[in-house]
Amino acid sequence: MKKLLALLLVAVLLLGTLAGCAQTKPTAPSSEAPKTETPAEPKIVKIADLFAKDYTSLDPAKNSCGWWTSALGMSETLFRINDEYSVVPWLAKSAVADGKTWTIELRDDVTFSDGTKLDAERAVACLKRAPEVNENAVALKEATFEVKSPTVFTITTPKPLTTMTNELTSVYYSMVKLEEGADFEKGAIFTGPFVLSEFKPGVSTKCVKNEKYWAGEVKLSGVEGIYVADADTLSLAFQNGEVDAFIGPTTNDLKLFESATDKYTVVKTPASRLYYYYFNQTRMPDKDLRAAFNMAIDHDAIVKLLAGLASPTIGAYGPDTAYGKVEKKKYDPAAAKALIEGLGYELNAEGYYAKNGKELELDIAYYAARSIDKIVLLMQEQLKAVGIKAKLSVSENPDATYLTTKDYDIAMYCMIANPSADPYYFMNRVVGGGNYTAAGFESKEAKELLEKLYSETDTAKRAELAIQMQKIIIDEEAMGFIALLNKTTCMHNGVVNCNEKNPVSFYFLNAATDKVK
Amino acid sequence: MKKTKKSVWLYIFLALALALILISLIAKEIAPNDPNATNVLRVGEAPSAKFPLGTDSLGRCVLSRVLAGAKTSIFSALVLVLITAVFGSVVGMLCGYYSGIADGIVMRIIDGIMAFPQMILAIAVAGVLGGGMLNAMIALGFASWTPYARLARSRVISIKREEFISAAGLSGCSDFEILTKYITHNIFSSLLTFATTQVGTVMLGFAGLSFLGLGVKLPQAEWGSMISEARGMLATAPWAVLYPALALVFTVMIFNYLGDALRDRLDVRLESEAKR
Amino acid sequence: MLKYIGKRLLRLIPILLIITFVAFSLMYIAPGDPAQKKLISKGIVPTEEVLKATREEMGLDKPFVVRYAGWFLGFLQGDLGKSYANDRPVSKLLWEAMGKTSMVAASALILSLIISIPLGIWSAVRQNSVADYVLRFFTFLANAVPSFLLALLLIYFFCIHLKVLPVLAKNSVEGLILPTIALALPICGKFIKQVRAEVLEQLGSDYVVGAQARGVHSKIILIRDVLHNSMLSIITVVGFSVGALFAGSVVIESIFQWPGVGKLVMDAITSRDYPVIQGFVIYIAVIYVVINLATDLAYRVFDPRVTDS
Repeated sequence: MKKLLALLLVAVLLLGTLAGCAQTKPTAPSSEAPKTETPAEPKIVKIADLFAKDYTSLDPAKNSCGWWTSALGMSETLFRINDEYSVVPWLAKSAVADGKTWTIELRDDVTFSDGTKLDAERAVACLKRAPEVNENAVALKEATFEVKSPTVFTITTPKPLTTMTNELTSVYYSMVKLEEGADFEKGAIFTGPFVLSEFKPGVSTKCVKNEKYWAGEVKLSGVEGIYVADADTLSLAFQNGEVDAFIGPTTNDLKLFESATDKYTVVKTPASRLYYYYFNQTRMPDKDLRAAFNMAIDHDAIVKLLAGLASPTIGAYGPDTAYGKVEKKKYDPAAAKALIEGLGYELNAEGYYAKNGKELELDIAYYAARSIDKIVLLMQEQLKAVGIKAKLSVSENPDATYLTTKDYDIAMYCMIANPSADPYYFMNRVVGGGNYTAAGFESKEAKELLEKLYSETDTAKRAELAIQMQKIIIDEEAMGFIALLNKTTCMHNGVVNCNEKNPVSFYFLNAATDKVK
Repeated sequence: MKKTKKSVWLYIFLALALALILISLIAKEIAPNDPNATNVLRVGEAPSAKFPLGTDSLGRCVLSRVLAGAKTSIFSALVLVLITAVFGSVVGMLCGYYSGIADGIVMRIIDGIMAFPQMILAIAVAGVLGGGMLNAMIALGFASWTPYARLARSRVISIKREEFISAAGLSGCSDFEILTKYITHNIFSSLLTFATTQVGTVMLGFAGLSFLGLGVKLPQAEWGSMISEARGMLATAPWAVLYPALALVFTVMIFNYLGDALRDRLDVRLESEAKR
Repeated sequence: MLKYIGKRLLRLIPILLIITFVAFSLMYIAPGDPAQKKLISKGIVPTEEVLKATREEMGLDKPFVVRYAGWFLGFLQGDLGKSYANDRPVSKLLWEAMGKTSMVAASALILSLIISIPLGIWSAVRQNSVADYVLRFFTFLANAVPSFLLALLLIYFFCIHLKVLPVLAKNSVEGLILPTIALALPICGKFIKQVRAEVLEQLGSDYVVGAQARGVHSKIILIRDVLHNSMLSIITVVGFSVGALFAGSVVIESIFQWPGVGKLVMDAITSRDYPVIQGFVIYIAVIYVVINLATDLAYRVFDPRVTDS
């Protein structure tokens, strides 16, 4: 029986050494030879996505499916956003506005992967169809189109739409060959450098090089997009070389990858995905309480927690943009406490504020993606320090749950605030009413400004309007802008040109993407 | 000779189990830090004087969380085993003692519930109820009372016809007295042994549910969810995964050993009866 | 024997009723309005009119028992409803995924038998030797290590450190290796323990003692009698372990992205796809019941000592 005890001890020790080994492993120099590609082998780059389950179809206009077709280099749009965040022509050659009418001229050398030419007729068909399929494509909902020549067409909107070219960068306006009997669930014909070879929804999408790509030679022989359910598995698969590149590592991954420059390249590009939260004003009518909440949250600490994945912001758009130059209240726990006490709350034995025996408890609704699960835990601690008890309620799909039902005190969200280099998109959502507007927030003034913003043509004035609207949001304590998530692309060394310097995350694989030694 | 040796092991494991329970009781007092206090500047730190077992992905003290997790894991397991054991045994005893139609119906229900692998039903119930400590307990408890009922019933049936029971009946004892005084006394050791062997299983069940995100609600510390939360850190901060894992494995082993030692000591065989 | 089979089959009827009832009730024990949950799961914004239409479509205005009866009739015809997420028949989804799960489960079962039977016998024959203690410690360890932890350590060692096996199991043979090991080892713990106990009991029984007294070679006794007799109880344990295999596969498939029923149900749980959860529970229960019935009958066929009682 003594033996048994001895064995127990040995096993515990063994487990201990295992822990020790694990600890030293990452710092030890890697002895194995780098993976080499024989020249005859086809060059394939595999990317992975955590949301690929949502890409149930290859119809670029449906839901967010266009993200996938764009990221895999299958679909392209008439205009695109370049690395400097400006809109530039892509499949189109030029666009000229005259009041309510835009005249768009297409390039004359664009062909679909089957050789069919992209002419004005086909382009107009795609633009007409998008609003029928996707409710986000509101901009062209009431537009009328006219084909002037095989390469020229016009779009006329009821009101002047100054941001037409920005709108046309959206993936749901991707150019796809529409014809009778086209089955988007199985495949579609696009103009991009890669052509579908196999589509397994929720598993993987395989593509081969488009031999007839209109913009020249495609370097890779194929690409594959894989769906991975969770971030940790994705990171492991990447480290094991099963995934060549992906966007959006966790803070942990970032630390690991950045310390192994001999293996990985990590590129961080400031982007416009905004972390923010809504207040439910119906449930939290006290403006001072909302203000106290805003002052209790240390946004800098959140940025630190996201260690390199996010950048600080003040307004909705980032401090570098013309329309992001606003001011918000600073982190000030003492002032937050004072405001709460001003509302008649007193600290109870557990260190939380209470009024008439009722504890001040706020329900924070969130979803566990893009590190939001970590952010809310930090916020919960920060609120506790001020004396506010926070209850965390997690949902899988925020759009269908708490944003719709308004069942929240505070609702966390993360949205690309600036998808087309213009403030209208986001302001329309957070001020215009609907699910993306804070529950109970109603500002006539902001709505009037939104009307003006819609048709204002002067860029400086547009910025000014957007700033005024953000001021209203901040003064009303309707929302809290936390931070901007960078676009972080992780690649194995040797994988190049993944649009990693572009702020938009649906630009990923392209004709120049290559796998070199 | 053999019996005393067995007793020694029984007492050793009993002492270890009690020590674990004690630690979980005073976890709050001996934890060096607040288990939920985050520190963004000290994320994934290696073990140090301030954080003896390092910090996790939110800069929380791993040791304090392992201790707080001890309370969650051990207590939820013990409480659940206690509730299911008592409930199941009472149902089984009543069924065995009175038999009849009610017995038949209850036994068919038990058959039905036992037709599900326990953990599968727990995953489904917890998945539908949507996580949280209480829901996880309901999910695990939903099926785990049934073996006690079967065990108690079969034991009661086998001793019901013994002379001392009928003698007690003749001497004017009420059914309640017979059940509580004589029968309980006679089947207690089997039930206790079986319950002890179940503690480890229930603990692993909790950890499994928490790992799948169906157990405790964050930020509550629980070993399974700690492992799940830190699984991406195995390369950068292995302590955040390995210490809760060690705690879990060690604790489950202690309770399993205790169950086995108790069974050897009391010399009861119960696997087949509880399962069929 | 036939009478016994008939009796066992009759007993299946109430079991089937309870299984289906429990599975059907799952949707209604969840807090909230089932119609609203259905819409949310489908990604439809639940407005008042849509809600009303969905409630009628789901028959929520009818009493619970009526709904259950309708659903049960469908079940008898193999109809488990349609997935909220993609409108595909649940029975079809499960059938496809079950093939993948059986692959892992079967290979894990075979692996654990290959490991456990020789080791269990060895441990019993060498009772109280160092090897026996090592093995007994291992069985306790295996019983205490959750498969998810084992899976994480395996991935870390074989995929990240040695880089010899894939993390994303997909459909390849090499992808099957780690899930199989992670699933098999905890089960080995139970098997070895059972085999050892059974062989020990047989070794102490009269016929073995008698044979030894008659001078029969101990290896012959071991193989001819002990192993043969032990097999019976091992069959039953295999039957029970099917439950553990399926439960383990939920965790393992989620970690390795293996497209079996376990991953299917976890995806269904996160997206609140109730018909899939219900179908999964029924499917597993039916398989479990059938396998246990089969092992039970096998036990009776092979063991003359068991009488019809």
